[in-house]
Amino acid sequence: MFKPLKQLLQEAKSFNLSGDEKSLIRSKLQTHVRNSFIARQYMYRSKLKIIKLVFIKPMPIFIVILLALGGTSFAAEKALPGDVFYPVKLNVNEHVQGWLSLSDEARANWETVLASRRLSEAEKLAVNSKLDAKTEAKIESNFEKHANKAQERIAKLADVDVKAAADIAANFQTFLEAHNRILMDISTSKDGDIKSQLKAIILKVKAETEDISDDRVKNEDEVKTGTDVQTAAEGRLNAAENKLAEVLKFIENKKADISADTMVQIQAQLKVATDLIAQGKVQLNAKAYSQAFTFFGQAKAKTQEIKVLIEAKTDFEDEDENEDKDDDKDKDNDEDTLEERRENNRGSGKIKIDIGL
Amino acid sequence: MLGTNNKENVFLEIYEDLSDSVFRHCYFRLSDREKAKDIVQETFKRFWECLEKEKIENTKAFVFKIANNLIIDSYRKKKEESLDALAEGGFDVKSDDYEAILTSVMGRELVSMLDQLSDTYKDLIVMRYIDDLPVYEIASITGLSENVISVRIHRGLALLRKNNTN
Repeated sequence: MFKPLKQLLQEAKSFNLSGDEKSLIRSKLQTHVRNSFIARQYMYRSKLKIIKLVFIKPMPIFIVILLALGGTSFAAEKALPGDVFYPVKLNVNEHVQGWLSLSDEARANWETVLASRRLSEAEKLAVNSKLDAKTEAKIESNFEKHANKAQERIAKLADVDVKAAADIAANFQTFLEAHNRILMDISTSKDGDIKSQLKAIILKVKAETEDISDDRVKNEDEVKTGTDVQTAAEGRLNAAENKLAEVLKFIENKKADISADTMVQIQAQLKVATDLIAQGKVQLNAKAYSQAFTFFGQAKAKTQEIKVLIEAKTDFEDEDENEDKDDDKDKDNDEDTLEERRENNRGSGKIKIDIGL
Repeated sequence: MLGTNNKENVFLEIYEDLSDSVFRHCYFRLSDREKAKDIVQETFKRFWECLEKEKIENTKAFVFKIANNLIIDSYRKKKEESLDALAEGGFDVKSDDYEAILTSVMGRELVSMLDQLSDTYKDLIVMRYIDDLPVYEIASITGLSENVISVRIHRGLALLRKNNTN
């Protein structure tokens, strides 16, 4: 080894975190460790003790204790608005997890996750007919807050890393569009108040989708006209292929819950995604990087959308609906358009999430 | 079994011992200080979760294996900024932390050289010569055979020497 190289490698060994950086990460880890201890303690408590604690001194004190101890609960993670643990999920779990996001990219991403979580909660409540006006207003306001923060952070990130900003905006748009479809499908099967609450959320989601779509287009245009568009296109190809592999694995794990008809729809949608990747590769080989970048982005979005819709389908559709899924009647439905299928399902009370277009 | 405080103390001692070397490892593989810090934090977070569930034989190799997996995920997510972009951006220290700026400037030359290598060589050179990991530990972290690792390190060094001379 030549001396300068040896010297450089030697010098690299003194390349450390600064004192401040090391202390900051240490204190965040310490908080995480203590939270996990407290969360585990809650898991060990008997049901009776928890019920006593909750009902004798209802939520505020309970929450204050948790907050004072910096505690979080595994149980809270799946809580929905109206549940005892829901404020813990919002004010402790999500707060701490958000605090662990250090970079601008991680922070922007986290806000999009929170906005999507609020929509999932609205969907679950609506499916169980528990979405009242008060809860809807809270969810809508929380969703809007996180969607706006996500946009702010994406805009900030675009100043330093426009590719990452474009990717996060594209992901967020995909999630919003998928949730919009799910909310519409749930709304079709509901009547009265639930339908009205869902309508209000759907309108909000549509408005935010338009905003984020503008941001995505703006950031993508900047990437496409930049000097590094080839790297960006190749990066998106990797991302699209990885997402496809992830979703295929997900489908494999879920296949016991998926009917033959749904699988046909999924295969058709996967083919759309793989075709988009193939078209992108043709453009990449022809050195049309900007077009390749667009195709790969669409492929990744399509694949992500398939996953979100399958999750909703397996989570929300009624048991009896699943039993009927191999019926010839449903096979006939495959020939119908999405609108016709929604029309058939209108007010039936049965949830039907459509994967096909 | 360790008590709550003992376990926390053991974990924090491990953090004190290994955080700099894990950071160094992440930084020279990712060429991005902020991302390296994110991965250090996530590595120890996951290490803590494993520490709670199982007995860990070789702590250092285990921690590096977690970091290695996170870095591979990060590679998959997207390709990193080019060296030019890095140089134009005046490096990636976003704080006014003097110590952090100083170390980044120190490492700059080596980062430039390592960035000219493909990840296949760069990763192994970092593990062998910056992290000082023996070949058998690199094998347990990466899942590659010791022979493949030695060959790649040899080739990587040859490329580094060539670039260094040029």
